[in-house]
Formats: sequence, C-alpha cells, structure tokens
Amino acid sequence: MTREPAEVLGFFLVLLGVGLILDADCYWGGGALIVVGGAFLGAVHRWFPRGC
Amino acid sequence: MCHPWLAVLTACLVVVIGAREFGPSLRGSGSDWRPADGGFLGATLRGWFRSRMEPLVDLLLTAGVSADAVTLLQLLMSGLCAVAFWWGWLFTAGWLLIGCGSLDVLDGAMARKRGADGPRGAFIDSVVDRYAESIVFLGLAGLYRADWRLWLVLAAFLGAFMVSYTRARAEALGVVCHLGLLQRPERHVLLGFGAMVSVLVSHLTCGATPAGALLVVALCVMAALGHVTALQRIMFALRRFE
Repeated sequence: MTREPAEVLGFFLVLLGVGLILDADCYWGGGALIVVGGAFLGAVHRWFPRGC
Repeated sequence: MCHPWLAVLTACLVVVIGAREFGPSLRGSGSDWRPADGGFLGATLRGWFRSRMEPLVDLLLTAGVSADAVTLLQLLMSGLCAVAFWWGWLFTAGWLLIGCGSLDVLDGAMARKRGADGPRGAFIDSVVDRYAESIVFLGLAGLYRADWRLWLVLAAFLGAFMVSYTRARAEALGVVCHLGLLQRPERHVLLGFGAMVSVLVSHLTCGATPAGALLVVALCVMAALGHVTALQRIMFALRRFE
C-alpha cells in the first residue's frame, strides 16, 4: 500500500497547528496558518496527476 | 480560553481518518489479529503504520537524507517535546512525541532499504533512543516538579529504563528478548495520545476536567505496565538460561 507522503505530512501539520491554538492561545494566528497549510498540503496532491 | 468546537473538529478529524485508514486493515486481517511480540498495539496496527511511513522513506532516501540524520532529528525533536511538556503545552508535546516515534520507525526502515543496517547503526539508534526517552521524562519531571505526580513520572521512567535494560542485558548474554506488553512504540503511543486526548477533553469540558488528568492516567498505566514488561522479560530470560 503506497501512499503520498504529502498526505502524511499534511495530517501531522494540521495537528501541530491545532496544538499551537489549544496550548498557546496567543499564537492562534500562527496555528491557524499551519492548519490551513497542512490541509492544503494533505489535499492538494489529489488535484494533480502523479509525478507533478 | 477554551476551544470546544476546535476540540470537537479535531476529534472528528482523527476518528474519521483513523476509521478510513485502519478500517480496511482490520477487516482484511479479520480474526487473524495477533499481538506483535506481546505488545498491546498488535502486529496489524504496527504493519499499517510502517506501510504509511513507506512513502516518506522513499522520499527521504531520494532526497539523499541519511538514516543517522533522521536519528539525530529524533533526538532534537525529543528535546523540543521535553520543553513543551515543561511549559505545559501538552497537545504539542504529545504531537512531538508521536513524531519522535515516527522518526524512530523511519530511520530503521531507511537503513534497511539502503542496505546499511548493521551493528553501528543499531548501536547509535539504541543510544539515541535512550537519551531521547530520558529527555522526554525530564520534561515531564519539570512539569510536575512541585507535586506528588513527580513520583509517578519517576516510576514510569524506571519502568521504561528496566524494559530496555533487561533486553540489552539478555541479548548481551545471548538471549534474544524483545517480548512484552509495553515496548517503545507502545510507550510513544500511550504517552503521546494520552497528552493529546487530555488537552482535547479539557477543552471539550471548558476546563471542568484539568488539562493533565488523562496524562496522569497514562503515566499510571505506563508505570504499571513498564514494570510488568520488565518482569515478563526477566522471566523469559531466566527460563532460557536454565
């Protein structure tokens, strides 16, 4: 079962962003940016053909 | 400030992705589920996680990253995890700990795939693992330095240390001994998810449940099962020496 590394990294990044928001409220902006970046990274490869 | 909706969304995301990912593996294995050397995670879950890490192994090898570099990154990450625990950032600390466990799987898989697995790599890996684990417990000791939970951290640390020591000593005397309920992957999962779920529950209940409540439960389980695992290994080795 081979999967895209982007999916794994994206999922980890989303959780990191959530962690920053939950643990350190004052960094919520940075946390939210990381969540959006992680979600984008995890999902974006589905919109392009393999190898891109 | 509590974020119940974010906690709900995160819990839903993890449950949905977990069901999507792990459901087919469970159905595929059917009644064939069996523990991996007695570890409570089981062979199916470990196999699924390794297969999920496989693309990252290929990516890192293609990028020219060495297994030793990943091992050192694991040490750095456990240092950050200790700092996060010390500051009380439990969700981030749990996330970093799961990351350390993933890097631990990655470096071994990279060395095997490159054909560079040997005594040198195994020795570096073991030594770094011990330092990494000790640093994380140091962070937990810093978090609970002022109350009774410090003793719980020390009991869990002693259990983890004895699990590793019994295996190393038995193998030095010629007995391969890697059985037991609470091995390294199980410790990472228990402590990492314990810390993360602890924070989610605290935000869901808007502070009615203290942030570290479930982490303390995880530490209790770690302390108990760590010593049970060490005893399992001691009994196993003693039977082999007779």
